[in-house]
Amino acid sequence: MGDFGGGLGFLDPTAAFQTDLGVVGGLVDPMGVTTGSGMAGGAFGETGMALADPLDLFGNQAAALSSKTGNIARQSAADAITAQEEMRRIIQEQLAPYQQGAAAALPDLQAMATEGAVDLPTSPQYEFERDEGLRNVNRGLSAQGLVGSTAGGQRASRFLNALGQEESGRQYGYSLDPVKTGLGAVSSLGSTNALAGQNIGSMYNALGSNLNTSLYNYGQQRQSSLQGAGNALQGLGSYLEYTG
Amino acid sequence: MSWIPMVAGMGASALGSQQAAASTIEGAETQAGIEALNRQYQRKLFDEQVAAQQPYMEAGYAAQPYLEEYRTEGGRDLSQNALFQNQDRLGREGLAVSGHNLPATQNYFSRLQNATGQDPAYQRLLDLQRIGLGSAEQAGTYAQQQGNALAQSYGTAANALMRGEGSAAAQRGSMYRDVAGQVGSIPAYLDYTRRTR
Repeated sequence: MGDFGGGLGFLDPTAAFQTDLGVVGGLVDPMGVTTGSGMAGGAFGETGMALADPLDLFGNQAAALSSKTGNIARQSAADAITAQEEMRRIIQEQLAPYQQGAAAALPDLQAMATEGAVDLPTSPQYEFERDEGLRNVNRGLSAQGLVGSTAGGQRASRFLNALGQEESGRQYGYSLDPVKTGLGAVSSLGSTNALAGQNIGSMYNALGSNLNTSLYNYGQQRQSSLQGAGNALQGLGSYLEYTG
Repeated sequence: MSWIPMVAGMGASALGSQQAAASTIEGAETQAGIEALNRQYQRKLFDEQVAAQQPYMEAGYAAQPYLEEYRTEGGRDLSQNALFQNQDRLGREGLAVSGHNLPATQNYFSRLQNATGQDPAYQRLLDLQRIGLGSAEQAGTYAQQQGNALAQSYGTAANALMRGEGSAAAQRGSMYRDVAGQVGSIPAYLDYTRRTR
């Protein structure tokens, strides 16, 4: 994480704005923007402000004001982004169990639809219906004298095939349902991420605009101070010229 | 020697305009840099979302070749399918337990299972395909939203830089005009003060 002005590293994950102007930074960067100090006086710090910006003698306090407003903007944005990210993390945690359930079931579901081996437990319902059903089938076959015949075997096969398909549907559903729930959770996560992205995007927009305005105002104030110095010098020159 | 402070004064005014222009540019570049951070964050969110959707999309892709078999062959070999294998095992156990274990019966059971198992197997492939497609649709919707956010960010950064350059140019222009005007007035002023002294 970088240190984009005032140590608010969250705002600058790639450290794009960290530079190393050192002592010189104080003179060329009274606001400490590019030196990363985020303070008036740049690398000189608050106590060296007078060295960094003698035009503060004209009362504008341009560097101090710009530094202050810049830090306010940065801190505000960092706090807002941190709060939004925390809320997003909470929602992610709440949805995580549904995603985990789906992640566990999806490989089995895929094997049951395509190819693969899955250890599938047999349900009590299947076992009960199989036992009772086969008893009824055999009772009927016995009454007709078809026990042990091919016809009897075919009747038992049809019964077991139908029951087996019911059981397969049940087993398939036990995996399909958590996968559908997980997909729904991912969709909810997408909605959360989209809204968080909009909110944090707005925070970045506001921060950029505020810092731009702060720097523009700083420049205007410096210009005003230097204009004052210029007027004073020109006045002196006129006086010297007039008095000879 | 009176010209020295007069020239210094002009220099101070010019320096003020130059510093204003430099701050304007710096402000614009700072805003553009903040928008770059914004775009990195939006991209991070998008990558996270796609990673969450990916397993479902891949499951959908896995169904495609088997569905294609139905279209080209009219059915498929179910012998490697997990449910078919389990169903086959349960059926044969039931036949054995109930005393219907003749080879003819076993053969009949296999053919019966394969014939009646095709449609349910096809429906399960469609389920898997719909899961994959649903996930892809969700990812697509999210991509549109993020694309909009990125486009706005690029636009904001470009606007800031363009306005900054324009303002700085205007400030520099003002500086040059100011200096030229002041320099141009010096001879007349000097002549006036000498005549009136």
